[in-house]
Amino acid sequence: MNTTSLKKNLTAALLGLALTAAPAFAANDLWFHVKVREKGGDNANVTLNIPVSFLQSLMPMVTKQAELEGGRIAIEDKDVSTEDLRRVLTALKDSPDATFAEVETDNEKVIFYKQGNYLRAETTEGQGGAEVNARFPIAVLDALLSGNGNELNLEAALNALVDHGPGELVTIRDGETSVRVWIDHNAEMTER
Amino acid sequence: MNTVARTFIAIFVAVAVMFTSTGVAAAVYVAATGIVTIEVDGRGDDPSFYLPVPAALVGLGLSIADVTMPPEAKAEMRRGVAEARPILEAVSRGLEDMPDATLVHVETDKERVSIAKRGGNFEIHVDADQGERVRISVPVGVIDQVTDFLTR
Repeated sequence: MNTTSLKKNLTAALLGLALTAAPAFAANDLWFHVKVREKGGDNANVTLNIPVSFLQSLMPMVTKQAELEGGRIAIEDKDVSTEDLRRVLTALKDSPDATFAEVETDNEKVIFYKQGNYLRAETTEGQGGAEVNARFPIAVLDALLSGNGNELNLEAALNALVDHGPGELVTIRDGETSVRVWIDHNAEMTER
Repeated sequence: MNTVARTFIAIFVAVAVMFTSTGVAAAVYVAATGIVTIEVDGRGDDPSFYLPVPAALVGLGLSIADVTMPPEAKAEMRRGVAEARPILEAVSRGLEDMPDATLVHVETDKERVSIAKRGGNFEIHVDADQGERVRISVPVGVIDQVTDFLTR
């Protein structure tokens, strides 16, 4: 066997090895990150880096648990059924970009609006108060509400999140505490 | 060299080869299955120690426990973890497939805790402000074995 042939075979073998080894984590190279920073007290910093594929493998169990609880979501002691949410989402999906709700008091301002393929929620409290900025892909919410009856389809929601790809989900700044939740392709968290 | 001397040398060589090959095989097996290590640095009055345990011994211990444990105690233990079985199995499988990364990191003014997967090992590191530290490293295969033992 000459040198060129040997190199070709070696390259083919390495390529084959890479292709067969990669699928174990290829579809799943998205990571779910949570970063909590606290100033004051113990100055606690918490970071979580979890592969989305790992969350997907846990989903059947979480879904089972959610089904046991009837898929109902409690909002300030009032149960909202997934059917109600489904109706609202259907209306939102078909509507153009707009602000759907804006509530302003002396201390707080809350806005819900649609921007492109996202449903966004922003709240700001008075000076030094909490500031919440949440951005949910509508496709993910749609998948979440795709279960039968009152069920929440968490598995489908996570799959939709994978299809959606990297991006910010939630940021909260509350005076001395900040929380950031996002998805990207980095195993380790990149500082921001 | 007479026949007796030659026979002794042959026996000596055979025994040496047997011991060496057994040692090499054991070393290869230990290297392949990994080592559970627990390292505690107490700094001061608290005890410090370093405990390396070949993962193969953990497997052996679990096999012995499986045979020697009273069936009722075993059944009760497995009933206790039955509810958590799917999640234990999923976590065990997930850890195997997961690439190296720091999964959880908590840092305060007083201590630092991190849970990571590195090179086929599941690692827990704790560092306290006085210099005390704990390092635990468990091959992912051992977690799989323990899960299997608990949920079989």
